[in-house]
Amino acid sequence: MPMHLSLKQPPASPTVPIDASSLCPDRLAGLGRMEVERVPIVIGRLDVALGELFHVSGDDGEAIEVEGDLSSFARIGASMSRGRLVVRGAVGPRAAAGMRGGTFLVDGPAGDHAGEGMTGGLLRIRGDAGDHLAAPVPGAPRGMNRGAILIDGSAGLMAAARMRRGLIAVAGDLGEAAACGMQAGSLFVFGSIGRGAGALLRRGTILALGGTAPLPTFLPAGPLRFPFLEVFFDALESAGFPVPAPARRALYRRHVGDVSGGGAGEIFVPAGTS
Amino acid sequence: MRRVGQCVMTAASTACFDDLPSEETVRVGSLLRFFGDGHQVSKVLDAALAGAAPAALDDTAPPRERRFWRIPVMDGEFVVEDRFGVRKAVAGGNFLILGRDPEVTLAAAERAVQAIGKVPGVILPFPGGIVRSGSRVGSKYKKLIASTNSPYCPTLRRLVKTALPDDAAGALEIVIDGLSLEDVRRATAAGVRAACGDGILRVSAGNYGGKLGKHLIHLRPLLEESAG
Repeated sequence: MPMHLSLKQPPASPTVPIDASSLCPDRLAGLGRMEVERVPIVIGRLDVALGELFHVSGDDGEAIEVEGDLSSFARIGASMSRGRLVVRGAVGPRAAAGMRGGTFLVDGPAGDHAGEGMTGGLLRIRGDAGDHLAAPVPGAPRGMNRGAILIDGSAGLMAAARMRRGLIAVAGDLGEAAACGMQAGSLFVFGSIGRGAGALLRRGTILALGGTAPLPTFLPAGPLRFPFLEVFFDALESAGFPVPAPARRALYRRHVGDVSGGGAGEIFVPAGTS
Repeated sequence: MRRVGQCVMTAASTACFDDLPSEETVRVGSLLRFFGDGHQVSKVLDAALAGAAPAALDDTAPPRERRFWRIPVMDGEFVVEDRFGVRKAVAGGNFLILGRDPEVTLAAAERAVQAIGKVPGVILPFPGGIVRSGSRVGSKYKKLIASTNSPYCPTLRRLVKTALPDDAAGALEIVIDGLSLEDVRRATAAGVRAACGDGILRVSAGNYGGKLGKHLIHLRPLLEESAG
């Protein structure tokens, strides 16, 4: 039976950060209910037993379901490498930071820096995500390096910075300066992308079904159909992420760049949009 | 790799994907990519999503990432998977369609190809699935192990012993590779049934005197069995 955690009551606007990185299958797998209740959650400088914050039931920590508004809990699912974690409600900043494997489903919005430094696994957010989605760990030369992030809503500024590998798909819109310094990988946005997408792009693919205004350092390279997109669209749909019909029908105008970066990246916008 | 490079990549609007999950793989796209002369682009479908992709569905194996190569060609891009799964199988199942005129024969062959396309576990390894340069084992030239299928060449009537009826304009061959003999049998039955029609004088098969493999599929018993 999957482990079920239910938040007793949301912390009243905590002024101290809550590090909930212990809410993760790697940490809870193999533990009995009593042991799980003793696992610490760090609030400020204090270790608080998980059982003080959550009602715990079930015994299989490989599959965890958490219920409640966890928007003030940071680093949920951090360094997750296996199993399945489901949060029914919002999650705070740096959810799935350093995630390496497994499946993490957020049935609500996520805070900033979701999927920071991710190197594997599947992160699905059924609401909006904040700024700096899939950002590099501070000081790291590379951002996301493998794995997949699927966002059913929209996301904020500076998504996919210095991304190296993997796939990010966003059903809604994306803010400004997305994929800045992207080194490779794929960023599919079925809404629009704000200004400055792909600045200093070396390689990699950005798709903006709702359009974007490529920087002047991207050179238009004509409209075409790209069969590899179908492979990715099929995989997204197989994972239960809907792909809008126009994405498959569209003839895409390809913009090659960033010529001030590596110059081998590309931004696809449907022919007929800017 | 050569077959994909010469028969698939050269055909307009094609792409080529691995549909055989297997421990043993061979390099295909990873070699063909050099045709792109440095302009080839790699795309990787991460293991987190590749496990959900139909081509990789295999409950027993953990999902692995799938790499594709985008090779620039004159009609856009040729997309080919980096590696392909391989395993022992049955190759070279075949039948010949002998028709009254070239158009009727080609139409019959196309019907057969369409019918075989619905049979799982088989492929037709030649472009369009239809072969006009069928071969037979042996040659007058020592270095050749096979040469043109002279008994079925209409221009060689009276010169060699022909297998063509007097009123046949020629023959087309359907070659079938399958994962098992049973797959090839099913595909053969479906293809032969679809090919038969007005203007088709005979459907035959090359057995090459048993020199080309241990499996023999006798068409008449096959059709009688599959009808029952």
